[in-house]
Amino acid sequence: MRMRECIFPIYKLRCSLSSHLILLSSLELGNMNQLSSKMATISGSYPKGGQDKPQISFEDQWPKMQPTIVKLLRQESVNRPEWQDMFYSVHQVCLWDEKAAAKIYKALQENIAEFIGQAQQRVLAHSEDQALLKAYISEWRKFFDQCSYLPKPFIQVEVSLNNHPSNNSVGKKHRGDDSNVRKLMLDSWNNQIFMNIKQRLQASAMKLVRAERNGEAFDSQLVIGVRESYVNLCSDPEDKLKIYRDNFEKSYIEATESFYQVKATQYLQDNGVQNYMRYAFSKLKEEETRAKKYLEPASGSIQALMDCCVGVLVTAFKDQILAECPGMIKDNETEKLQLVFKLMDRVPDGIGSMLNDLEDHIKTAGLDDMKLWADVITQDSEKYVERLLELFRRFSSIVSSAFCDDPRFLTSRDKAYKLVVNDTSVFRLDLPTGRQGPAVKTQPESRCPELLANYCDLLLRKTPLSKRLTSDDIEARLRDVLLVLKYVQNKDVFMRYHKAHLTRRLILDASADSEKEENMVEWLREVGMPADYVNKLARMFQDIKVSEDLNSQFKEQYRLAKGPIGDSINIKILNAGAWARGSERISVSLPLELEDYIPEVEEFYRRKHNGRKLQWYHHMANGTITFSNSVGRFDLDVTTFQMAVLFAWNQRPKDKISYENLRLATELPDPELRKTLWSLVAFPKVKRQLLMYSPEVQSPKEFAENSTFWVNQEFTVIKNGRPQKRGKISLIGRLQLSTERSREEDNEGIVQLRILRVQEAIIKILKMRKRISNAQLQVELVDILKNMFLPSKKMIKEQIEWLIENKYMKRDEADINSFIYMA
Amino acid sequence: MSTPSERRLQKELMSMLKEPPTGMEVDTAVMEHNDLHTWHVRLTGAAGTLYEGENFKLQFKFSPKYPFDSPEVTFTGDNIPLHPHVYSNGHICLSILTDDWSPALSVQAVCLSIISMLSSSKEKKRPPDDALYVKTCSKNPKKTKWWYHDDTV
Amino acid sequence: MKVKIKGWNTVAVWKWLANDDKCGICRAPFDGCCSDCKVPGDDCPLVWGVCSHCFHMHCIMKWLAAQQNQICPMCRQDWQLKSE
Repeated sequence: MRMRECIFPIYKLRCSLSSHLILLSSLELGNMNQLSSKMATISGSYPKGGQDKPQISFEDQWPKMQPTIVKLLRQESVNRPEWQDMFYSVHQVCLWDEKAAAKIYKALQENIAEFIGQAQQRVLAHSEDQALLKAYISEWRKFFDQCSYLPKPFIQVEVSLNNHPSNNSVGKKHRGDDSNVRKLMLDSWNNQIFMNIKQRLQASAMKLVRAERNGEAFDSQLVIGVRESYVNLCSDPEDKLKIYRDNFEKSYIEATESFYQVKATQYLQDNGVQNYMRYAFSKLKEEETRAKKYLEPASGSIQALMDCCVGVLVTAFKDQILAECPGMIKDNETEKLQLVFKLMDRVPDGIGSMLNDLEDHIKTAGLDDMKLWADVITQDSEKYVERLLELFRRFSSIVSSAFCDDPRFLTSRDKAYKLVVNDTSVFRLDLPTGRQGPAVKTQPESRCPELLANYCDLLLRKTPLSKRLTSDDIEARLRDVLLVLKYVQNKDVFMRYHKAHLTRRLILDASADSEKEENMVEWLREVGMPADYVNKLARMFQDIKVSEDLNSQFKEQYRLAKGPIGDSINIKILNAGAWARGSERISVSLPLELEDYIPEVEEFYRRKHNGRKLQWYHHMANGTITFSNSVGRFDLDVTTFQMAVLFAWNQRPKDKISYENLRLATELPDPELRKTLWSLVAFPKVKRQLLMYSPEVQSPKEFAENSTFWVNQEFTVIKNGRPQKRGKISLIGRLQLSTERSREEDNEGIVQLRILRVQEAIIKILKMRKRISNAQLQVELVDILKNMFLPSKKMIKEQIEWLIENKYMKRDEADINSFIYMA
Repeated sequence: MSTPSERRLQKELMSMLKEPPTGMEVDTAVMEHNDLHTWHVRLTGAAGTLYEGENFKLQFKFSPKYPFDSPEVTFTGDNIPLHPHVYSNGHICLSILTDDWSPALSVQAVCLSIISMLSSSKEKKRPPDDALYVKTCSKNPKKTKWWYHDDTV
Repeated sequence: MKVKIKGWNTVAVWKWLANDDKCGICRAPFDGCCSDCKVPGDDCPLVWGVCSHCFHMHCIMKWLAAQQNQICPMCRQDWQLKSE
């Protein structure tokens, strides 16, 4: 027959290489189709008679087929003719006998059942766990192999049984794993053996896992083999892992849980919480590795098991573990904290209390540190900023080394550090309330922004500190200031002080490095300071350059006209808009030789700029004088007001002059005269003061009309404890930028400006939103103003009321907690 | 925030509220906040003139180009002054409101001019072309090509 | 005892020397700037006409640009820039 010429590959049924099998099945498929078509032509030659008894019947053929089937089940070798005959017989019988398919199926079932019965007996012959598992796995593997081969000759049966005549679905059907015969085999195994002994199988497998947990070695293939049988046994195409999940996974997880329920508690009792944490951590790792070995990958089992392990090893002891946290933070035990973090990060809501612990610690430790150093840091801005930065570094290092810079911990650090920076218990800045207008009560504020600005000044001005540091050091420290500034609520205060310091540095030509000054302006812009503020600073630099050009032109011209005397005069002519706040004029009677320069400068300027006039800011002016007495000759840097006062003695060096007469001589307003005199009789850094006075008072306010002042003939500069004959000293102190009165108004100005900004911001938000809830308004307001100041609840409330009263907005009648914009 | 014209109107409003000039009063009740572009000003006829004791209402409308563009000014309400330069629909024939406008003028200056225009009148009567004008004119008096008769009346 | 001046650093601010305190066009003070500018001073200068009236330069430019007749808003004389 021609079909015998069909070449099958040499067929070794014991072949267990699955890749090989796949190759075979695809080859067979091709041959099978070929086969079918050929048989169809052959079958055409047989007469098809309805009444006649089929020429080829199941009963005739079965005895020929059965021995091969038994051989196949037993994995005995079947030669090629036997194998090919199976196909032929099945095909023939199905062709001639309508009922053959059902009969074959039934007969197969019986044969399979019989075989499985025998296999079961062989398995159950072993009572010892490992042997039982070994036997089962070996029987199962053999059987499972056969599940791939035995169904092949019965394609015809499949077709008849499924009643799917189309070639297409036939092709599909017998190609997959879900053939009827295969299903028959698996279901039979499942019902006959598996259901009976699965409890023993699982129990044995879990015993082995448990033994492994206790440190005993065994052949892990046994457990893996059992798992594989569970996975492969399932004939349900919808959920192939059902048997595995309902049985193996379930019992694996349960066994793990009950194992650790006992062990974990025991370990904790014996070794204490901190050791337990290490134990739990290592066990989690260990179980994960084990799970990867024994549980089916990509089934979700590993995650389920790990959830269970976290529950039994960590969540169950959450409170005990977390209770250790505050102490560890306090003692900076970063390794242990990291362990806690890694454990708790796996527990639902495990991190929350750690965040609180960290915040509490930062608040307490930060404020304690501030209080401890209160005496130093309230006096010394450098020390203060250093303390603040030291705290910041300390807290940041905990967050980094213990909590791996986790964003949640960083947020907590920021929140708590902000409280430390803005705390008012160590020092506070009291902003005065407005004297007129709506009564504004302000809350005390931290002096942090002021001290930060002072520190910047130390770095940017020519000071011992800035001389000691390298340029890179200074830059690094300025960057540090910006870092702290980020946490300052009321940045507007910083800006005011910073601007005032900058003004002094520029007026006194006291900047250490003008490039750094201008860099600082850009850095302030980068960290989000309001643009109009930063622009103002930039304009001051621009303006001072214009003024420098003007000064050199003036000197040039003056030298030509009057000779070198002009060299000792420098003029700074500034743009009122960029610099000045108050425009109050302070009268002073200048020394005559200075008075002469005034019209000269004015005339010079008038010729340069028609249409402009000058207003003199003598309170900012300053100079150098040579002071000679019996001890020696000294160069003194003084303010113009100090100069005016000292010149009162020029014609009468030995006289005692009363306060009243000094006022007449200098024409200075009372507050300025008092302040100036005080700077000459009680200058902090000078051992021997320039002026003497009587009677003694404690503050400049106490000078009386008849208090008398005279020049200290013994005045000298003391260096290394010795009086000097020559020397240079500055008595300028902190240069006055405004009059005494306008200074007070200045602080009020901060509050007034804040009110204005709050109003503007509310209107801006309402204009955009049209309607907004009170809560949302507060949030957006704080956000808009965050780079300037933190508005108090009270201030917001008052401004809302003012805006309602003035019909800019109204409350929603339907919901009094919402506002509506009125346009 | 606010536009240049709003800032200028705000300044004018503030100065008129702080120091109200005689014979005129800005009616802030009808002025919605943040909308400074329409004003109502109450005028009182000056003592010793034909209009003594009479009250009038002027409406000002400002474009965003104010003060570079003149405001649209008309009498409104039920008492339109009987005057040779005031039409019965409230339109006013006054050169500073169109050709002779200057940004240095203000609401207050315009009101003053109108009061003085009323004060100098010797006869209470409508312009001779009132009926025709009112029938044919545009709603906006600034669109009228005025023929400024004389400054004496 | 004798005090002698060795050097003096004097400080003044400049302001516009205007015949009014406010610009007749924008009504903003001459110390400040016109309504389109943010910072007063060199960037928002004042200009004087031959009629001696002065305005923010930006204000008068806008007015002249909006007008056929180049007249001073204050006195209606022809506007001509006063040269120094």
